[in-house]
Amino acid sequence: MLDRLAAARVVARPDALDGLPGLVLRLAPDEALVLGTELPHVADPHAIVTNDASWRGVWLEPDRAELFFAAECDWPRPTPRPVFAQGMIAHLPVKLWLEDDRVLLAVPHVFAADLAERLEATP
Amino acid sequence: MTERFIYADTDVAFEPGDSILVALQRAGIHPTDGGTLCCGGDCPHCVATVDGISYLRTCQTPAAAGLVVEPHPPSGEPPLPERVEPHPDVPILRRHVHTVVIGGGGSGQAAAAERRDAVVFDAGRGEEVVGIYPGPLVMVRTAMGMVHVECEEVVVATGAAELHPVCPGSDLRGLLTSRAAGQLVSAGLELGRVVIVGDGESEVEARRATGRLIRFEGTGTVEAVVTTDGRWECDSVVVALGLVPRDALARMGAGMPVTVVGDAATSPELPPCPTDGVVCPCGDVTVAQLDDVWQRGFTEMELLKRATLAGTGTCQGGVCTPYLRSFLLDRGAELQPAFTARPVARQLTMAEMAAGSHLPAYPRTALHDVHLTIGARMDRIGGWWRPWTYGDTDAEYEAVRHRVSIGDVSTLGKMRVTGPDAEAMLQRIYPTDVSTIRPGRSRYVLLLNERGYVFDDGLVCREPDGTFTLTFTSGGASGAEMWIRDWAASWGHDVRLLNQTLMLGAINVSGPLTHELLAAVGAADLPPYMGHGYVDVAGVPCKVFRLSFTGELSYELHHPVDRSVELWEALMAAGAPLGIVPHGLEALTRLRLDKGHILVGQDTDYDSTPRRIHHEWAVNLDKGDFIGRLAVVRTNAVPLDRQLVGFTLADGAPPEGAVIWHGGSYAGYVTSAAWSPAVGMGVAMGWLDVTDGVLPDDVTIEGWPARRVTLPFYDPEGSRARA
Repeated sequence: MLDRLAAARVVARPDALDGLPGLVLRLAPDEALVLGTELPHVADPHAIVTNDASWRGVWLEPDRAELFFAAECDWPRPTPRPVFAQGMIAHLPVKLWLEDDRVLLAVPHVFAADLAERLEATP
Repeated sequence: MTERFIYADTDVAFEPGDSILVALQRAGIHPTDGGTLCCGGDCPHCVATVDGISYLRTCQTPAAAGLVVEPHPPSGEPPLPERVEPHPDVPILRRHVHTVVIGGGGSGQAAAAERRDAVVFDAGRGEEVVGIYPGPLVMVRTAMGMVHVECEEVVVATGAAELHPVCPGSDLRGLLTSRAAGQLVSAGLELGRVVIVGDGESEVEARRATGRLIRFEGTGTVEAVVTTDGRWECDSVVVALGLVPRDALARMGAGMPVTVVGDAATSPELPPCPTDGVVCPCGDVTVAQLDDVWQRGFTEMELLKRATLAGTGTCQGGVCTPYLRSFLLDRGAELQPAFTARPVARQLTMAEMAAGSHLPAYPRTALHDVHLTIGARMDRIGGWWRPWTYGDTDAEYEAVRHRVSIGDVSTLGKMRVTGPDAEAMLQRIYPTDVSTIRPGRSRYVLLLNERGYVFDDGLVCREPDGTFTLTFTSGGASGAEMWIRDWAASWGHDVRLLNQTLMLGAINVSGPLTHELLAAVGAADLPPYMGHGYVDVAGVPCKVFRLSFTGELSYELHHPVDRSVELWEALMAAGAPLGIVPHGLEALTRLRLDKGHILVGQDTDYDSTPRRIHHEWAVNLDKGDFIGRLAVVRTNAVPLDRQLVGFTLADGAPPEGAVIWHGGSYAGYVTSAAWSPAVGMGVAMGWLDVTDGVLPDDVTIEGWPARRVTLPFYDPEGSRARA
């Protein structure tokens, strides 16, 4: 149910992460997960830029996602879209990328089986 | 056709719209065999077990065909079900609104109309609010399941309940509050000769008894009311003693943005102090019992509650609270507020309580399914699902000692550190001199807190490019990451930190045939002991660390986590001719014990200094300041009182935690123990008290003689690990 996400992990000075191209999940001020197979160029000589194969994710249609959130997410999702959000969903540390017509749920691979199980259990 | 449900093995007919209570009353049945019925969900006098669920208020539960209703026993708790069937999950809906209004009456509707984004929950529609939690979070039981609502404000508009009588005879059948009488009459019930007591409003018309209520008389069912003005014979009594705010939920919201409106916010005059009878019908607490605890000094509401348990039953003080307050006032105490209320306000089933909950998710390594496939018994250890054994721990142990074995150590904490201040920061974090670690080399390190106590251990590895890789224990990785991030921020160091624990898998290859195995999968140019380097192993790019936890020739292969299965299977296939067997955590803990390697958290305690665990060699007090240095210097000056030491036992291995005895006195306890095939004896580590200035050499553990020995037990020269 969940697919491996091709991504790069980047740790750098916060200003060096601003404006990174592509779909960027800003996990922390100094850390980002950049979806895609290319390693991004980062203007920080001490940056750590590495491939990261440790994420699993699923794209859901908004209605399906809202059903899941209604049962499993006790915090309101931010607007406007697209927007990144992260927090506990279904008691798991989930990263969200919310667009108008689709929603990405991503978790570290170590929780992929749990998220898949909890997604399947939701009507 | 009239529909029916079953009550105590008897068919009971009901009309459309009946609650269970109304139907029972129509059949002449009182569910608790007496006590004033309120029909408002405020008292404990109609509770019963419905379809196996106890403490349901039958006045709030619609009658339905086929229900099985059982009365609660006259005393004690209702019996637990004889069989427990798996219960289907109760659905849950989570909502976020600005305002939750509890109560759908006039004041509740008005409050909702004044506010934006408000939702109203109305008990009349079967929406029972069971608690207000910090947040605020409002939990509601509905016919569709549980609803959890996060909000900015809660408005309590729960109205008022009716005062119950407290006097002799208040446990008779035939007593009804005014609203209850109105409901029953509206449902077509005949109440017979009715007398009203009290000055409150009555929804039914009847004779009104004047004077102050003294008692009810009757045998089982009320037959007369006695007041200061006389005696009135009757078949039913309408109790119209007045209203009290239904404020349990309001009292639950103390300290939260809770607004109370309407009748729930009123402060009516307290009822007269009762002189006799049951004050708390849930707990059968009488006026005499209140007097008894008052005499013993329980003179405040909260103390009265704790001493008698009044207010802790089914109705949570709905009936007794006004009387407890008037009792204290009458006895000379100041007027006291009602006691604090806490969730839950309604009894819930376990399934309702658990709605939306999950078992804690323990992370699984990328090899989890592989372990299951080859028969591993998985266990939750150090915060992870890990293979404890593959079925034959002795064989796993022997494979490491005599042939070759692999183990999944992906759970080890791993962190990259770069930046101009990386070395300076690590110098202050660790008690070792990081500046002397050469590129490509690794060093075992302790992590100390400010008090000089050991809270984790691992490696510091300098990369060829001058950056660093750190490792931590599996269970300590998250805490160590927070520790380092916190200090880096506090010191203002210019560093970049990346926790790679979940990004990298790790496989430990160990045993005297390790080189043969790695050669078979094409690994060349392996690093020297306590070195590390980048090597392709079976075509998988690995960062290879040479170290040894087992005491044998070992390498840890850190690799991209999506290649774990491929690497594991290649090693197993290439190792088959060498007699490879994977090892689980049970074998690993035995192997490391042979070497006297500590497990932080198992062999250490919260006050374990490097000296107490005999790791002074891992602390460099000459290199400059580091976290815990002052504490280490200070505690080193104090005479040693106990130390983590090793024992051998010829007779067997004691259980971990066993007491160590010396001369008939307690002398410590065992932290790790196992029978060691390699040593041919039981081996143990444990905390041993210093006695008369020395550590005893000979002690008794589990009745067996044990000899204190120098660690490690196995291969003290380390020749096998360095082979």
